[in-house]
Amino acid sequence: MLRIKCPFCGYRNESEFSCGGEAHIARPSAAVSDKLTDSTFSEYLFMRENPKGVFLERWCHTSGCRRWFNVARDTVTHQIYEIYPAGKTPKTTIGKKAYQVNWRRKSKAEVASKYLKRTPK
Amino acid sequence: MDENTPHIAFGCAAFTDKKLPILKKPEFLTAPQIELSEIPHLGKLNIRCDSINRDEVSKLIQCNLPAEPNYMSNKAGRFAVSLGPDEYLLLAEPGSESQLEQILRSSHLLEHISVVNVSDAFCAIRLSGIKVRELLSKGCPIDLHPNNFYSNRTAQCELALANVILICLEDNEFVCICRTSFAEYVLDWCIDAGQEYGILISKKI
Ligand SMILES: [Zn+2]
Repeated sequence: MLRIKCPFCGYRNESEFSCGGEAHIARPSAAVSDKLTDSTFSEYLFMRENPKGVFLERWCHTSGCRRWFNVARDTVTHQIYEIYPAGKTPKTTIGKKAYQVNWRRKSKAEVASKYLKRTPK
Repeated sequence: MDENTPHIAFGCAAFTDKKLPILKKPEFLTAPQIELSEIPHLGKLNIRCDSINRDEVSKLIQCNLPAEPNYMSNKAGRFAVSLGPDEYLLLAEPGSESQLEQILRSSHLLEHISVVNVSDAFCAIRLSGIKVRELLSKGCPIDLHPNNFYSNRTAQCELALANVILICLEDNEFVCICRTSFAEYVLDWCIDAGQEYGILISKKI
């Protein structure tokens, strides 16, 4: 049983949480998503990282405050390196590295979501 | 050993030829050590508001919304329990919840806050007695030691796998708020887990 520190409630048992899979998956912007090929869009929709080592995940404190947050967890040792707010990127060196080495940073789907600027009304 | 000394008779008979007195169970072992009761018709409002609106909402409901997580504040019979960074549960005297809801709904804050009357969605069970922490610990993984879980502390957690909000009123007095559909299960579980302590189910608040 993992003891996970919920940013709001403090240390709680793993059984109170649910894991939401890989974090930092950006949806391609609506304007570009039509122009993306199916294989590129499927990178966003279906493909998930499955590393042996540090993995950035989303977790929800389901039986407690029902808030989402991100966790940098080692999939081999279960060691938790960092817990940081949803929507933010990791701050620790280990977390930053895990963020950068993820293949998704170079995927067309993510690049399309990142560099498209919204047209002002 | 003096003849008048009361014996605690565990194997002592083998070491003495005196007849041992029949031990009477002391009263604290036979009297119920846990008391369960429902707090009926307690008004419950779920309030969501950001920290910038907290003070204004507190004024309207005449009870401070707690800034700290896992704590509650109380004022004149009203309790505000913190459920999340922007979510609170207000427990108010029976019958006052619709009026409080109206006050919040008619205020200028309504664009920024949400208020939902959840009085009938949740059920409040009051547990008291000297063994209440031991009883709850049987089904609740969080640390209920008095040093950690004292008066005005609250926790949203699992009690026998049911989601509950635990509130510590006083040292040996707790309120357990659970879904109405789970109330029967939680009560049954408490009665079962409390068999060894003796349970008294009272109707009064
Ligand atoms: Zn939590």
